[in-house]
Amino acid sequence: MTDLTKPTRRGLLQGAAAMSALGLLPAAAWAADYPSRPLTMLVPWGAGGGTDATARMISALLERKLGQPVNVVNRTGGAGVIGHSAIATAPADGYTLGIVTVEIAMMHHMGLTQLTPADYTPLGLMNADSPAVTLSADSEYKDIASLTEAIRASEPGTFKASGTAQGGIWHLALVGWLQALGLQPNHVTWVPSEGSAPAMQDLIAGGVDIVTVSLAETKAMVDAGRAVNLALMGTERTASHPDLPTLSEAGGGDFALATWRGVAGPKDLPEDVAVTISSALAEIAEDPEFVEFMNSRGFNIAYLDPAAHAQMMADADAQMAETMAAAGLVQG
Amino acid sequence: MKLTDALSGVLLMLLGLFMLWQAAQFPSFAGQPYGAALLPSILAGGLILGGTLLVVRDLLARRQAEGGVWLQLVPDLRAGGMPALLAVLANVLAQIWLAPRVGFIPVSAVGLLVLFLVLRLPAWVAAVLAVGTSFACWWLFAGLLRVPLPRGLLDGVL
Amino acid sequence: MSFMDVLLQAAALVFEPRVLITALLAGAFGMFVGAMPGLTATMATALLVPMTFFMEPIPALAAIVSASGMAIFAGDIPGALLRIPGTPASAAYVEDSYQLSMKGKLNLALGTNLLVSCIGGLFGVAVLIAAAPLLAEFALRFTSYEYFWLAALGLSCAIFIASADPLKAGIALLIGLALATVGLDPTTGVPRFTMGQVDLMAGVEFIPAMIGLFALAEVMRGVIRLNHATPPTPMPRNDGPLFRGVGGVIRRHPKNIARGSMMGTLIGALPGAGADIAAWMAYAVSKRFSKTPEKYGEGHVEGLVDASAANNAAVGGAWIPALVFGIPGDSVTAIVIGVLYMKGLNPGPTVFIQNPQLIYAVFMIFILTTLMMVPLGWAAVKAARQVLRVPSRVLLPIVLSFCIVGSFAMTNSVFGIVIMLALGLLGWLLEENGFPVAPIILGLVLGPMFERMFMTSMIKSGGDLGAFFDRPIAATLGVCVLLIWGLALFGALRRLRTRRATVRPT
Repeated sequence: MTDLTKPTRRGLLQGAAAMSALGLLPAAAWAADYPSRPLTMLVPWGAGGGTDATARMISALLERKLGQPVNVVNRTGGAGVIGHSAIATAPADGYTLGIVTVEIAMMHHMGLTQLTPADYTPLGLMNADSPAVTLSADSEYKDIASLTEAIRASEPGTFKASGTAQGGIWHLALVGWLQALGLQPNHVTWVPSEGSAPAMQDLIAGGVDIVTVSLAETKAMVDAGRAVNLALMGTERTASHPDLPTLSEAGGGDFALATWRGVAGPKDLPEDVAVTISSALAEIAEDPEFVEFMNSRGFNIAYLDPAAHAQMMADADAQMAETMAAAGLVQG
Repeated sequence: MKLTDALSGVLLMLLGLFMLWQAAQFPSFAGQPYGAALLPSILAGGLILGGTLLVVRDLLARRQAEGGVWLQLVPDLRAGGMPALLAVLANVLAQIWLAPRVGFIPVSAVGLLVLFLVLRLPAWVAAVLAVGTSFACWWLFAGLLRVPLPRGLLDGVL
Repeated sequence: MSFMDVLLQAAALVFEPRVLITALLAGAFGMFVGAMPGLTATMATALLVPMTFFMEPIPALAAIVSASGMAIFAGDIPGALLRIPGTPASAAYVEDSYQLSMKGKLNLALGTNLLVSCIGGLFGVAVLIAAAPLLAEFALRFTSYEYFWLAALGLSCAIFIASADPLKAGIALLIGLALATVGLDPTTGVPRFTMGQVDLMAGVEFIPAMIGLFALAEVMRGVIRLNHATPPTPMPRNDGPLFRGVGGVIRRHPKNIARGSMMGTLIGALPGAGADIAAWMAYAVSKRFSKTPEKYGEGHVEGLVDASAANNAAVGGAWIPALVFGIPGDSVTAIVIGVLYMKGLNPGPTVFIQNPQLIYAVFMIFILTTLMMVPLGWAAVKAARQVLRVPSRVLLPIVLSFCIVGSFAMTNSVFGIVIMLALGLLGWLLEENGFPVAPIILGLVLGPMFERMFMTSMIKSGGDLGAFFDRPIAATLGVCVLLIWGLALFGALRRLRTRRATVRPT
């Protein structure tokens, strides 16, 4: 018999199942046999990218833990708006979940959507990556302090940087950094690109001077000796690059920012469903297979439980609002 | 539906004007002298120019030879193609509006049955083919290729 | 470790029953996906990714290489049978292969496609093996200026492809480019022409558009004619051996094969430009330098040779920057890079030194699967040919079903079907009125690249147009584009003057 003074999850579920069988509770709200059919994992980004790969790995492990297939479905386009909308508007029954990325804290400031982080049920943050300041190996600047000095001394528009679309997360990394240096947000010209790979290509080809994307995205070129990471825009060094200093350590200004990916469902997910998924995610974050996969791709695991996940998204939303307003990106 | 070139030209010019009007409303971005409106405006100009050329060419041709009808339905369409065309369009529209609620399989089976019948297939052949095709599509795409086709009413069953 | 040892080790990795069976199954899967209108090589690869998570590196890569190569060829099959290109890479020459089939030369068309695809594929692999680092260095010189001119060059292809009525072809190209501007603007992120619809922010997805323009329009025309008093002449049965006469075609066009393969490899090696663009450009160049350009589009095998060689050569070419610098050459290699990282085979120059046996194993798989394409393709064509025995009133509704699910699959929502319907009606209307639809595809493929690269370059140069000619490769490409347009205008003017001159005396 379950000890009723100290309710365990199983006890609660059994109780709920019994009550639901007696017709005391609506079956949908207390789906004791959850999950009883395949789940869908919506991904707002395209097949083959980092978010897609992470989602597919999480889904494969989730499938093993839940005993039901978890199908990854890419809903791409509109700079993430379409996929994020699809997650938020899905039925809140726990059978449609999704990967919510940092863009959810940015898009609504640009007037692209009404959705904010509050429109989701956070289930667990899985990953966070800070960008690095990366230059071509041919560049005359060898450390962040001399680059910072040169940028300060330069005419506005002399330096050009790239990494993603206008108003994308890596653009905000540049804007935030320039602000921390006390410079205008367009002191360094932002050259929009369709993602990090073309930006890296343009850096090596000599089209732009600086790229501010995540370490994983610069890895191939850095390993090839074509590009150099000067500093990390993070609060502390990462395990994968212990020799890379943070901006503030190396005298490049005081600024930190991260892109992140978490699993979330639509708003008001039933309590037991949320618990089932989030406890599975907590286990996945420590699963050796997941750890090995994330390390191999150069992604930093940063697990946060649902409450901390919600708090982090709210904080990020506030930070983005400020940075984007400074960059003149806030619309409507 | 067959239009005379002059009429197509006018339609293209209208499309161009519409694009110009829309493009004029695109916000310009801070620190960028050339914005989102540049290419659409150039293209709109091209469409207006192209449309004008079509109109001029057609009118000149009409002056030389006696021009044909301004607008005509495709002859085949009048000769009994209309129901078939409508059945095809109805199938597509049903998949857009009905399938998300009812599910892919029932919508597809009923839609195809109607289309096969309009194309004058014997009733039992039509029924077998309609149901068979729907299930085959489901098996290939939803089963094998994991495309999330709408399950609709059959949610609990499949 | 000597080179011979490396080769032997690589062979031991590849010639293992598990690897071979994986490649065979994945190849059959790729054939099927490619032959379905609307399902692409990228989709075939993406579907294999979850499976490759749990495979050894070599079988995982074998599966991807095999599936993507087969899918590109298989796209030719529905094009020849139904005038519905299976993949965008086949859209360039769909008119020719379909007209050949209508003349009872289906076997010649598909046999040529198959063998030339194989040769082109092998050429691409040969270059990948021999000159990957060199070509990757070349590709790395491309900044937005070079890409802008490349896109402009691609659009200029429309001049050569342009059919009987250049004005209408030009308008069709403009419509394609205009459709490509729908959605979020690539540089500023502003929504354009979305009418407040969230789904439209993603723009006009290219594959559903192609299904609409070609497949749905074809179904609509088909059912209208069916109920007519005089039914259309059916396509001949096209039986007989697949490769009859193909040897002759290949012997007569060695230059086309070489040219197409080279263009395909080069364009494939440029990140962001893949098999689709390679096929269009190869077809245009073929027509420009042909002795009989007037036959193109009427069922002429020459353009087919160039373009099929090019699109399969591009498959190998795309791996060059991927392996050497970890930069994806196209959407398929973007997925491949992810798999490489996962398997600890980090792309970069060092991979050739640290894991030479693995890289050579990949090369061997490439050669093997390219050769495997011939028997698999033969079987696929033989199976697909049965479609011609099915009466139209049965076939057309089934094709319609595949169009619907194919469009749905690209966006994973009914919005794909909406795009297909809209473009289907547009394509049908345009063709009824003598506008060709192929240039719309060209505009949709190249439009986004053209605009993005132009805007990026303008932002970089601060509005200085001279910067477009500052870099050597950019200047060369730019002069090519200007020459093409200049000569075309000059030719048009001269034709006009001679016509005036002949008209006046009368």
